[in-house]
Amino acid sequence: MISRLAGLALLLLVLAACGGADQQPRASAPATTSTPEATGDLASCAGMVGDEGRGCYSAELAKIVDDAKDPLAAVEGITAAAYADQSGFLLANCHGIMHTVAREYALRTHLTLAKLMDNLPATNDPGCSAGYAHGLVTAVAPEIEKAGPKVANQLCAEAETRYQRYSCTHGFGHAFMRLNSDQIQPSLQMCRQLGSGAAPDCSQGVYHDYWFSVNGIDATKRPENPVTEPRELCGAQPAEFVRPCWYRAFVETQQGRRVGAPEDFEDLCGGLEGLQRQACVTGASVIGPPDPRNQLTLCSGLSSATDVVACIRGTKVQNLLQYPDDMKVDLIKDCRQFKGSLAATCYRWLGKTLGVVSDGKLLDYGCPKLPKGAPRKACAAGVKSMDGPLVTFS
Amino acid sequence: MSSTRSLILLGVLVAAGALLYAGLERRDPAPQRLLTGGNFDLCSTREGDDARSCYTRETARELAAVSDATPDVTLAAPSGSGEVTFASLDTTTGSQPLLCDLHARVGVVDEQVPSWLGWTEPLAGASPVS
Repeated sequence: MISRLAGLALLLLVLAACGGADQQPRASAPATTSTPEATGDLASCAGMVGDEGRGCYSAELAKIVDDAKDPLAAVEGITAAAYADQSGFLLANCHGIMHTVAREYALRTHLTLAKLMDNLPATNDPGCSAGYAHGLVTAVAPEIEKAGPKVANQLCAEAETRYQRYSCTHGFGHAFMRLNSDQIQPSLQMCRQLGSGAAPDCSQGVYHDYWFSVNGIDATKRPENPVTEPRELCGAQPAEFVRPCWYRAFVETQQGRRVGAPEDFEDLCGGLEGLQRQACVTGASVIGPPDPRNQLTLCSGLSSATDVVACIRGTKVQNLLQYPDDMKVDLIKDCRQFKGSLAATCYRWLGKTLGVVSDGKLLDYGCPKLPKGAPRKACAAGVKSMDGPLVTFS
Repeated sequence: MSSTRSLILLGVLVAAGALLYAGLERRDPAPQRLLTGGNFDLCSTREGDDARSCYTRETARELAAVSDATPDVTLAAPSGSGEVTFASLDTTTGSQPLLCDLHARVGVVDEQVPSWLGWTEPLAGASPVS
């Protein structure tokens, strides 16, 4: 009896000292982000920056989404709050963070290809929601490979809007990189198997994931000798993927730099020729002014017509997603500052990309507000071409 | 009861008390969170629009707690001007910052505060009429 009592006392003391079963990671917590400390309390991330901040937000947001009965509602609610947050840290990092949250959620819940579409956010938000979508697609990569390119294309075709279809294809690029240990060339080969209509947009995901790996984000493995110089990286890519390569490269390598004058283009792209120069100018345009109307004004100051066209291709129409349709119309009206064929190119390109973000509605509310004749026709032609590959878009 | 038994019984009671205390100490921190920010427990069993609005509200509270020391931003353009702005204090009217994942990253200069919050970019001038 005495020995039993002594044993019980010892057991209780050990349990008390160790915190009992409460110290075990929660069953719902993914292994790599939701550490035992994650409580779904974003305030615990206060003051953290860089990798520490991203890691903290990843863990806490994973906990919040994991605990939700309706994870998609949680993601959409978090997205809305991130846009409204004045500090901007979460919004600026939300896409990448949600990659991780979604990928680990999908692995933990054994998400299948058959159920993928039911779990993708039904919004056009390119920040948190698109990151979540890409993370889910990444997690089902092995199934996508088994199903083959035809099934993969059909899967994206089921998405409700053009932007969501783009996002789905972009997600395949991430998925293919994970299947190929973040090696670019075999991943591009898988993109090619999707057909010429999807390959360039798939490659945008490939290059995005490459920079993830260079920066060690989202459980990627850093290459032994990573190429971080855009000229070297994109100079070695197949022609059909040169534009997507440059488009992503400047965003990842020129953080904080903003192109604000014609000479800045020369600084970044001087010495390049042909496709490499055009693609470089488009990428440089993307790191231009956040206001797309100011981007166009900047483009109009370039002396070479091919540079102007390339610059227009970098117009960030996505930045008007949350704004009234009138602002999108005002933007495309600004194509009037270009002359002749340059104006037509501008109307057509913005017709295409604004068509994507409006899911084709620009044809009804925007193009008819342009001057009759060439501008209106070019706008309509652009909208009608939106189902083709976007190439310089994200 | 012998003194040995009494001593062991006392030990059992002390250990049980310690275990109880440890358990209480590790209880759900939600009440503390209520004081400092949001409470996602309120949303976790809801679905659809109800859940969406709940998560928006609670995330906003959490972020407000995180960025308590961050000064407010006043970059809103005059209403009806048609000019594009980069942030708005009024989050109830549906106006939102001009961001997307790609371009949000472009604007990040010090990893904590994106540059567009403090950057006064001149608005596009009147375009020439063709």
